[in-house]
Amino acid sequence: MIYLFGAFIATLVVVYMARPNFRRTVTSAAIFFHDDLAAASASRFGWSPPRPTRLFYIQLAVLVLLLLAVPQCHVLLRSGPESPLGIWVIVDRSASMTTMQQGGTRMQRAVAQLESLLGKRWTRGYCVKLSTFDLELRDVRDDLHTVADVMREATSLSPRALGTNIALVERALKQPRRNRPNECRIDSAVVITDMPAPPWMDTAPKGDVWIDVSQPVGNLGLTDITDTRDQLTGKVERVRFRVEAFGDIPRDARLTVTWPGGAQKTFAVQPWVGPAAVVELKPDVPGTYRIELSPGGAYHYDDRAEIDVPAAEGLRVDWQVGQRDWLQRLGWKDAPRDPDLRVLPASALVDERPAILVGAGYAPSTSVQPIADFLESSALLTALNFDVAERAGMHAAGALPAGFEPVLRGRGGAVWIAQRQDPPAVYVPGLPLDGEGSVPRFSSTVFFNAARWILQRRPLPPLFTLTSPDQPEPIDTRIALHPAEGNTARTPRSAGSLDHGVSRATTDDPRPRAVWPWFFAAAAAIFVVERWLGLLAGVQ
Amino acid sequence: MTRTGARGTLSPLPIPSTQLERYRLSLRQQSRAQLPGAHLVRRRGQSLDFRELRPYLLGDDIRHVDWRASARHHRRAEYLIRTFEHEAQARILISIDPRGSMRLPESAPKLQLALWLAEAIAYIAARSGDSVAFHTLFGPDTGSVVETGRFVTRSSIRRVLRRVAAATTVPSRLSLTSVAGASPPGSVWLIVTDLYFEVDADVDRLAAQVCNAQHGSRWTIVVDLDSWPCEELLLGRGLRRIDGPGLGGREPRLDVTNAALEDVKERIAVRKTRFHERARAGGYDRPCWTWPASSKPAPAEIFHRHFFDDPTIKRLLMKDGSS
Repeated sequence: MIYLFGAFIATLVVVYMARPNFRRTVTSAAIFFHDDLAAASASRFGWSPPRPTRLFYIQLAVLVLLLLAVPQCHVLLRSGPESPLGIWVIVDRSASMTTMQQGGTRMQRAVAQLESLLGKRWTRGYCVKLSTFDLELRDVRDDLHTVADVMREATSLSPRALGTNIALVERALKQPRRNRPNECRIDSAVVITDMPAPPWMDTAPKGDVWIDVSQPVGNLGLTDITDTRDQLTGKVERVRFRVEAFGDIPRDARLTVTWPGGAQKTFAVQPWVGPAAVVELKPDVPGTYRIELSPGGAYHYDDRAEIDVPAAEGLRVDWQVGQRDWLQRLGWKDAPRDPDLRVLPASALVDERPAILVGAGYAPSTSVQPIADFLESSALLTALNFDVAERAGMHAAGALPAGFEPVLRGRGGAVWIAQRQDPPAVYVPGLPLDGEGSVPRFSSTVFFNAARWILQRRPLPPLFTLTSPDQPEPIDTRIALHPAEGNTARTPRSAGSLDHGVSRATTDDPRPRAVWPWFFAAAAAIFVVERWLGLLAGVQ
Repeated sequence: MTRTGARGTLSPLPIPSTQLERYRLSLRQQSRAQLPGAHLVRRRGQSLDFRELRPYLLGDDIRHVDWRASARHHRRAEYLIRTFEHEAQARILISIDPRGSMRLPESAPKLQLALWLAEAIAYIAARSGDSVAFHTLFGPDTGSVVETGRFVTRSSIRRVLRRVAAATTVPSRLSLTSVAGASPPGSVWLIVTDLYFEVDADVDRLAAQVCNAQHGSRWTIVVDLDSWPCEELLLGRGLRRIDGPGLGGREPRLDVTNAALEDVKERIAVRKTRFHERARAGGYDRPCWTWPASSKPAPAEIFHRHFFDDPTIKRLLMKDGSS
């Protein structure tokens, strides 16, 4: 191609140079130039070098532009057809998109907004990449080339009982948009959601649009369920339901709890502290409790919940020290295999399982063993009387296994209490002493502080679970109490406009642009000017 | 630009009226009788200007007898009477060649200088009490002569000259029918042309008319405008496609060489010589205004050099001396 075009230009140049260049001249004595003079020169043929005139330089510029255009054309032929311009549509399909407003769901409004947006600006060559987000960002299609295709895919989308993770969208929009050949070239991103535009959208590139389809509507919903358990037995002692009102606070808000046996009890939701109130439930029997809140409001996923209160099973202990009667006295089960806690002598080998290492015991006396230092932040010192500690006659620990750090030490480096974070283990001076008095109480406090500190990390079965991308359907105790989903009264805020949707080159994928048409256009324009000047100057 | 030459707006005469007036007064202090060449002879007549004393003849007005001179006259029986100048109105007919060749070269068209010459002479003549008429040398006979009368202003002269400059030259025919009527005996016929006529017949006809004018006691002046030195330089040497008036659509393509230019120059000379040979029988003045060999000639400079230095023009504008 380039050789053919070069040969064509060379031929033009040869013809141009071989052609006699008769300069037009106007003279009043024209009638005296007879034909005999003209005949003498008509047969003249020869190579005439280009005259360095203004027209010559203009013609030279035309040739240079044409020569520049040829390799550009060659590059374009090798690079293949240009990818179409595209829009990346990211639709929110979180649980809050089921919120009812103006007779429809927010998802329906989002689809209508998308259709309106694309219908106004759709031009030939556009394409759309469609993605959704809730707790995950998922691509749906990246090869949609008509509005009908886009709307068909968008209409098929339905909200999922999941929360909203805007950070996923932020990361996606800020990442360089890598474009493969023949796929949508993403120049603009359109996020359609019921969340207000975050502040970082104000500095987003032109062409990125955040459309908040929400309108403030009232809602009353459960926003949190917390429980309080006995750390030693794991028994659920209280369950607190946090209720929040978005918009006006209903006066007749009530919470109905259905006990495992079918009995129901209704609690008035009060008192309100601001827009929130807490209802506390003391589940006296294990089993499934169903909670319903009324009136619910525009968003329904936060109107009901199910929790499973587990039965309090006794603590399983591997007791390897003396005084085994403590097992019965505490109600703990002897479980040498798979224990929740092990009670071992200080000299025993400590493995990876939670354990309390028990020392040689206490020898109360009137003499004082001064405390040298202690770890103030340790929970093992909770409620301990240090004056008693100095008279408790605690024996210093011997060589402790690796990983232990002193919590309470006497002078001379005597370690009285020590702890290991991971795996959890505690060294105590001895088992609780029988009897009344300050030292027996001190010894009991030290021992049970150690038991609680170890057992607080014990995994207990949750009252409920949240829906997740893997299990998005709310079934039984899998509920959709994702934070902020029920806040339906936010002031909507959109950002950006597709009118600014100019082409934006990605940072690491600069797209080659065809320059050769501009060279050709410039050559054509200069050629017209040259011909016009030639006409004025009378030069052919 | 057209094949018949430039049609652009011609400039007015770049000489102020005060300068023309000073020039006129300086020339009026001189008498053309002291200079060689043809000139207008004023006739005797009735005016306040005394001419001579002569013997009384029967029929003379007795009131013109100069009794004091008659008493001193040596012939007692002869009475002398006073005679006075006859201040007849002088007439100047200015014929301007408006053909396409006169509109070239573009940088200094010959027609431009012709119009300036006509304007200057018309203004000075009008200030001297003479009448001026303009004549279009080529074109239709009807309306080829335009009178200006006496005591005209420069603006009125320019208005008439604009009509002359805009006159159509189609058909390109020599228009001489009105010349005899517009130039009575004793008048001046001033022709401004380059003599680049397309056919020799026009040359011969104009020459014959010049002869006839001389025989009718008319002072004929042919101002020959020669722009060839300038145009030769503009042509240069090399391959040229010649365009200009009179080619009839042809565009001769030739290699302009020194020999070719000499040939053209010779042909121009032959044309002008042919005119001169036929017109000189009656005797006429032919001042030649030559363009400098410059690629950018200045029209005003050419005009100044010739108008204020040309002896024929000076003689035309001088006072007619007593004989």
